[in-house]
Amino acid sequence: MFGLGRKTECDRVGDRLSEYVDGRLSGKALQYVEWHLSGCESCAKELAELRTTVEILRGVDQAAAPRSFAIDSAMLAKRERPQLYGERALRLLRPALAVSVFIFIVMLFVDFGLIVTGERGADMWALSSGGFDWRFVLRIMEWSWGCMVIAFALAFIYVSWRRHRGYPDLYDSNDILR
Amino acid sequence: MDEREAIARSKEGEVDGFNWLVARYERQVYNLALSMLGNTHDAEDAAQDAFLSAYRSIRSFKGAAFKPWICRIAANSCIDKMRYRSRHPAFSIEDNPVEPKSYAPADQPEEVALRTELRSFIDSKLGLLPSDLRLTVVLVDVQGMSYDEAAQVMGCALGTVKSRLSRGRRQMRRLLCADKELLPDKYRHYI
Repeated sequence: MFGLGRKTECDRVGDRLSEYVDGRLSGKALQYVEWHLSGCESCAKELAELRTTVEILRGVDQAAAPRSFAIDSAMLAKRERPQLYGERALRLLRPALAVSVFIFIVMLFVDFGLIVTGERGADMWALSSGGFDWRFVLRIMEWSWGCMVIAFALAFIYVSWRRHRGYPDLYDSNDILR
Repeated sequence: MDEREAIARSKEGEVDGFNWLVARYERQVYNLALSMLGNTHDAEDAAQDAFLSAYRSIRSFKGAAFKPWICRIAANSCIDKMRYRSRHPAFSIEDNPVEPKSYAPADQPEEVALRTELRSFIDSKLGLLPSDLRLTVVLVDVQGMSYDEAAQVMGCALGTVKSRLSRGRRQMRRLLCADKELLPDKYRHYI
């Protein structure tokens, strides 16, 4: 709408300049970029600046490693992998929540089916079960199952939130590595 | 010992075999971490974590090339570190630029100082890029990897590398242009 989000020719060429600098364009794409560059001062300027940027980045000196990162058995014994907060709990909570939600939805569908079939359906249920009203049991199950789903969801949200806040760095200390 | 033998020995649990690989790639891994994290203290930690994680999971390594694999572990380690740092912002007295001693000893002190300054300037600008663009620029331009290798490290398609590199370079160009007076003379006139 109103031309928003529509790419100009310069935008399209700008997207390909990086590949052009690396010599990765060929055929029509290369011809198109070169044709555009020959007549567009701002894109030619951008190309020159991009080349210099790449040159600067490629010229960054590689520092020598300040120490050896070789590992030894003592290090392996002491330095445990950082355990993110709630990693184990989430591993259990995820499938538990998914399964319980699925079962809850099935229950709702069954209940909805009973409502749709109305009294006739209820009578059929009552007849097939010797006069006992299974709808009452189903509602009780729905309520308790719903509470369980909410409990799982709250636990999942709480653990995810704690985890999102970060985890204790278990080995960020000046131990044997220094 | 060659790389294949070192990998085979590492898979059997030999620490010496693995340390041969560490000696070969530690500089690259450390520099990747340094460019990603911008300070020596975190870079050392991330590099050490990467090698320890690699040793622990070397049995699952099935590829032919060790370099992209270890760089991928290092990149994940850096992202973990960045995530942790963003949640626990703290001033560190070790947030220093790379010290001149890290460079070749034959260089003149003045030259070394200039290069150190340039490196910390570039690292500070790289730190302003979003992490995915930063990783791509670091792998391809700073580390000199091919597009295919970068795609392996990042576990994404070649097209994704191209587009991230394009966006990353364009953002770097803008950042460098904004502070071009801090660049060495030879670059200042072209940017």
